[in-house]
Amino acid sequence: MDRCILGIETSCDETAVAVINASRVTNLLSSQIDLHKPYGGIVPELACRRHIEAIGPLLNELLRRAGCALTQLDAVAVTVGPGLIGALLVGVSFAKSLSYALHIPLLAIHHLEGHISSVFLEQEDISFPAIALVVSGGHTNLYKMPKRGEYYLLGKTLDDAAGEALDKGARLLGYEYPGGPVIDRLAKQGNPIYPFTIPHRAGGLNFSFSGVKTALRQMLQQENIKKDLPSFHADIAASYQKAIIESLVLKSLLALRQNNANSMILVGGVAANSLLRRRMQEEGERAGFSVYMPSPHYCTDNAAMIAMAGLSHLERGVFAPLDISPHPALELASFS
Amino acid sequence: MHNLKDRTTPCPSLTQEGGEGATLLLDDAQSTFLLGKQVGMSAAGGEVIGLIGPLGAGKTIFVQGLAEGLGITNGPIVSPTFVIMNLYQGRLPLCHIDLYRFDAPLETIGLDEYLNWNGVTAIEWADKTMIKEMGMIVEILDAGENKRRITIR
Repeated sequence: MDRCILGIETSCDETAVAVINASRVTNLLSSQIDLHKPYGGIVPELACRRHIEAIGPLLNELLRRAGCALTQLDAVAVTVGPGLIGALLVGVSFAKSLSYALHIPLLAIHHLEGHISSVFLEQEDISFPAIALVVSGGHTNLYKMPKRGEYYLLGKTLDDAAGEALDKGARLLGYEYPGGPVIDRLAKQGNPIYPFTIPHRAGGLNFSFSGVKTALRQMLQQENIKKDLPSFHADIAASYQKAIIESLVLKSLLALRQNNANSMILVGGVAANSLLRRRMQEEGERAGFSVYMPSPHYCTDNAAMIAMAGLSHLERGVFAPLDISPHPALELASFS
Repeated sequence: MHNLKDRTTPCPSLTQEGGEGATLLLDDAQSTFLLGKQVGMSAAGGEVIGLIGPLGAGKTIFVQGLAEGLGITNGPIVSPTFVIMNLYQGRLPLCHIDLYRFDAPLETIGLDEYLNWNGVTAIEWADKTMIKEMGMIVEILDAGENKRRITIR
């Protein structure tokens, strides 16, 4: 049966809403409709106030674009953690109000379950067991999924997330936030000629990206490095990015083999990185695994992924009570 | 950075350099970790610690030591640059904040509940805020190779 699900995501910077109506996805971010003011970074208090200002108009615009009335909604799904508590509270309170007023189920979604679900927006038949790598500015987690909706944490970063390492690498080269896409773009024009070891290679399924960041900083301080060469930034970006991406691919393959998995699921903001997409596809398929990843616009934070996770909760009858509280430090494994 | 806790040699002692604060010369990342651990072990709750220093100086390593000293059980302590704030449980709770993505200077960080509570709060990139609650400032500077010059005031 076709359901109409509303998704709401307010865990950090972005206010996001989406509707999945009979498999058609309408997805909207506050940064798309000019409510975003230029504050540079994000002050938690300010983020909270901005979520409050944005969420009502954003929902109206979403329903207009989706051609869907409020009364047609069958359920409302919302991110309950992890994230900034003030920001989460806005989305959760809004979702509870809709659930209560419209007499529709409330579905509580973990932010990382949302990211993993982003792959199901475009892929229906994924063969389980699967390994999911959630890789972004804030997270680098490997999960085993015996089936849809079941998650076991296999490994995570012990210090910096991969996306943070890419961003700070760009900053060390003199580029502004967000630096991940800058490294990706520069690296395409360069060659990986500088020696960076693959981070935490012997560390099993855990990651560590703090050391490679320090290695880059120390390399830039060396006097014999030819910083004046026109290709210097491109070459060093290519070398640095390669080390980080190879670590992600290597450990994903190890997890696939150790767990006799059939499929690899790659999600999160860094899943938009072109080298990671290509290398994961190449190496995964060469080793006989199916590799799935969402389109780049579903990799960064969005609410379509929350609605998609909600659809799965609805089908499995996993409902949240109206007195549920958001939690800033929620673990996915214990939550599901 | 994962074998830090295995080392047992104590921190170098504090050497006074001028009238303001105390300055230490540390040989490696392990020493930064151990210094954080000592601060954590002596914490009684309510401490707000500001950390200052360039990218890769070892601010997060100091907080990892701090967490070890606080007996944090739900680690590892990871960088909160993108998520802004992480909470941990231990002998005392730890709130780990990172202001890296903010544009300086901030009159408020909008996380006031963690500036006056029973836990310990560590704020990286503390030079980006003007809040008065920070009772201790730890500044970590490069001193060549892996060495660090740390000033506590």
